[in-house]
Amino acid sequence: MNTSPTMRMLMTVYILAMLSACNTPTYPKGRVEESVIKLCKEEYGLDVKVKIIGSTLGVFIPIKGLIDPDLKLNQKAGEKIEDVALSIHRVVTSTDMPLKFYTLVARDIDMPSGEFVLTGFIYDVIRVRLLDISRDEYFKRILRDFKFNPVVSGEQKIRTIFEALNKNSDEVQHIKYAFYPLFFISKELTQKIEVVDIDYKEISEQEVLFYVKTKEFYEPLPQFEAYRAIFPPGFLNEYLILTNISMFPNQIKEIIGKYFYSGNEIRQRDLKQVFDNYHDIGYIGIDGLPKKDLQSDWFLSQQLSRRIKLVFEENKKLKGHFRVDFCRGSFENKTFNFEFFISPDISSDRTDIDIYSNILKLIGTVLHRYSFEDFDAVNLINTYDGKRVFVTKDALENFRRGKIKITDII
Amino acid sequence: MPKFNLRIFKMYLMDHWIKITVTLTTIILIILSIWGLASLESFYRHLTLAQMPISILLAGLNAGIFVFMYMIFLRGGFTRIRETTIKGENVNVHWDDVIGIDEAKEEAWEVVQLIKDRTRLSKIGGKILRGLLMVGPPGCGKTYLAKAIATEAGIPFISMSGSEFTEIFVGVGAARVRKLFKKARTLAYGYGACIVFIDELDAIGRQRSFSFFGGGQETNSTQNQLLVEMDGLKEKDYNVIVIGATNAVEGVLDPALLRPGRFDRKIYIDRPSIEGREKLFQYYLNKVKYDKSIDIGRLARKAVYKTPAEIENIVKEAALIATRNKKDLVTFKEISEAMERIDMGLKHKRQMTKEEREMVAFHETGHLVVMYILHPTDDVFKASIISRKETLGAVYSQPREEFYTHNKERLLADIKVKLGGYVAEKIRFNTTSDGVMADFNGAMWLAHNMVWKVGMSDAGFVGDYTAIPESQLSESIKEKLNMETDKIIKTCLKEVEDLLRNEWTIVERFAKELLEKEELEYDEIEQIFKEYGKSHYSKPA
Repeated sequence: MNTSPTMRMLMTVYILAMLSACNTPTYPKGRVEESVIKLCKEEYGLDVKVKIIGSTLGVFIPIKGLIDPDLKLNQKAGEKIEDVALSIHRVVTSTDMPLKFYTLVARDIDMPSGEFVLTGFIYDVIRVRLLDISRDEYFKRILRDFKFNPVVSGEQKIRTIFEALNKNSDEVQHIKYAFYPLFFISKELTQKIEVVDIDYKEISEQEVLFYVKTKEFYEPLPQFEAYRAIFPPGFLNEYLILTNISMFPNQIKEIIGKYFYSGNEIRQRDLKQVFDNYHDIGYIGIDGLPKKDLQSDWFLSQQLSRRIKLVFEENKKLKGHFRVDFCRGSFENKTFNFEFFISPDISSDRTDIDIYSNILKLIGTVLHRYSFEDFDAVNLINTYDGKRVFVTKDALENFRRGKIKITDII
Repeated sequence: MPKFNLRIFKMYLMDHWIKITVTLTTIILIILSIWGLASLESFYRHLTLAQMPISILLAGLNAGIFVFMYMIFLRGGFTRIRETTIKGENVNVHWDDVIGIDEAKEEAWEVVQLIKDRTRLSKIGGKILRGLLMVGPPGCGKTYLAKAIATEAGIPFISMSGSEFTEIFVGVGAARVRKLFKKARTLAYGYGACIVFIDELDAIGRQRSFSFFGGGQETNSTQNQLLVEMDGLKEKDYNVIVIGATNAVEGVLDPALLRPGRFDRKIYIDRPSIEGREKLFQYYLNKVKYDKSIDIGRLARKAVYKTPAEIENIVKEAALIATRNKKDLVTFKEISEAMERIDMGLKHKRQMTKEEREMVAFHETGHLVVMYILHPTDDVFKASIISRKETLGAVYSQPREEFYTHNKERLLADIKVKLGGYVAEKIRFNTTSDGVMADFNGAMWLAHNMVWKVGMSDAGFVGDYTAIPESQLSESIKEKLNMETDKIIKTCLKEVEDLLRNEWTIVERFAKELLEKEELEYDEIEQIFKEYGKSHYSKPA
């Protein structure tokens, strides 16, 4: 075939243009953190901290005046969060690093426990940009929390307590003897406790268990001179402190010391072991960055728990017929667990069937859309009447496809 | 190293400015595209590139739909040519099917041989045939003969009408010619040769005209392109033979088309002779069921000046009439009726008063009797007082054989026949009608031409006086010539009047017959004249 030189040249340029697709990504692996920081700084003048754990990208931004006096998100702060979110989206969509999730934590500088947390699945970001999913669906897929962080709040309280103990303030008089043996064996106002380390675990949405290591100084009372041998000044002590943010401002619920006096002898507990036995449900650290790599099962359980609540609040056919107090989701042993309180309105003719059919339909659809297969069952518990519904994966799929009815399940 | 020549560079730019502009623009656009893509984040770059195939596909689809809509609704596709290409063996018109034009066939056979033996001809240095021009009246079988040539030569045949090249836009016709020849050359490359048949060649082959206002530029450029394609500078000599057909006289066509190397061979295809018509009638009648007793010779005589297409039409029309009349066979009657219908049109009855009908009957009888008794060459084959088209009545005649010239006697007879209607009206009614208008016009035109143009006056005026500008003709000459014209008319009138008065019994008989029957056929007319002992005009010894 005869091709003119002009045609050949144009074809070459065109092929080169096509090959330009095979170039390096804009934000290559290894420069992701740096890129997010740079984008936020250069384009929006925002200082952020970034950390990657596994396939989770965490971004933290402290914002002054995040929370308005009426406890709502400040509008300007919201715009800054959007800017940071956009920077994250730009980086995660144009990188070759296999990232799956991102978290964005914004905390109020003046009120550090007040925070806004955004958690999302990166593939959802790509899909919404490709118009593969609607913006409405995208927003339903993001986990958004605007709350007081029990860890930050609890840690602040604990440090305040230790400062008060050092000053022997009135406010700690009722609890100071929980700090055994210091306040039993020392002279008044000679006690000094240095917090060496604080570890924590969120054991429920509101409760945090702190594992505190201290270095304690004192002057013993004359009758306890002998204790110098066991507890020399500057000895190391440990405490487990349980806080509950719902009890704010006095959220200290329980203090357990390492040492205790029993059977005419000083005994000690292995607090580290006790602490280790607890499961940490939290994923954002005190520094506002992720503590662990997020998993799809956890993400889906959290997304679904929020969407179940939304269904009964937004669906026109269900709205007003049910009261929804809460819905919690978790994933254990390949089973999605959803615990909720949904009660039918007295005047409504709706029944359990409406509750469970809507919830299962939602769960089936969402899991199908995410092509999530790695689970065995779904367990639903309505704390309103204590009813439990256990649905296997196959049954859920058959129900989604309309092959079986809700009455065959519940 | 060759020295840079600014003039040649400028010339190159002038020659290729479109190509250069398009290439540079494309390169700039591509560079801008790459630059634009490179400035995008990789996600959007990939997105854009991923969309490219579907975008190109959709753009193509879009363009396809646009072109389709344009072609459908706006009859676009300026340079689209609707030529029909058929392989030689599929043309399906065989040599034996071409009948009635034997001389033309003989010449065409030579052409077929030239096409077939082209290689041999080239070897011995003979002139390669490029074009063949078939000239002749419409319907004489030019296309048919061209198809037969294609079949016999066994090569592809592309047929186009000259009018298909013409467009309002200058250059479109030329582009179509280029496309046509490009296709023909491709076919010639594949099959060894190709025939391009351009019907109605005069549409693009007329003598080129040059106008300051640009009129005729399209035809000129189309014809120029045709000339170039037929005998221009080409990389390779392809075996493409152009057959043109036209019914225009040779002077109409541009001389450049007719010079050797283009349409260097001409075949005149005229109306068939009596033998040709016989063969044609036989050929077309064989295709229908017909009465074997039909005298085909008589049919041929009756169909003087008929073209093969007209003869085919007559037979087809006759078959239709036979079907309508629920007959199994086509008889002479149907053929006769078909001829009349084709020649004279359909009958339609007009409501006329008795006096008017009589006037028409005598008028037509006047024509009839004069023609039968005085006309040296023409026969009456029908008389009618039934309205057809614009006429209230008519006497149909035709020459007994083909004549290509008119002598003085024949022209005078024509004038007499035309005056016959007027004279009959005048004798019978002592008044005349305006039905003579067309007759007088014809008679006067003939007499005028006899005197002014062909030197047939008795006063010795020889020559074509119309060739002299009117301002240069003296009034006396004009007067004399006109006097001669008048003399011819008056002489003829006198002769006709004498004849009709002498044969008034016959006139009245015919008028009576016509009023009764409305139409008289050849046989009936002949019979009546025989009753009165009259026969056709016979040349005085």
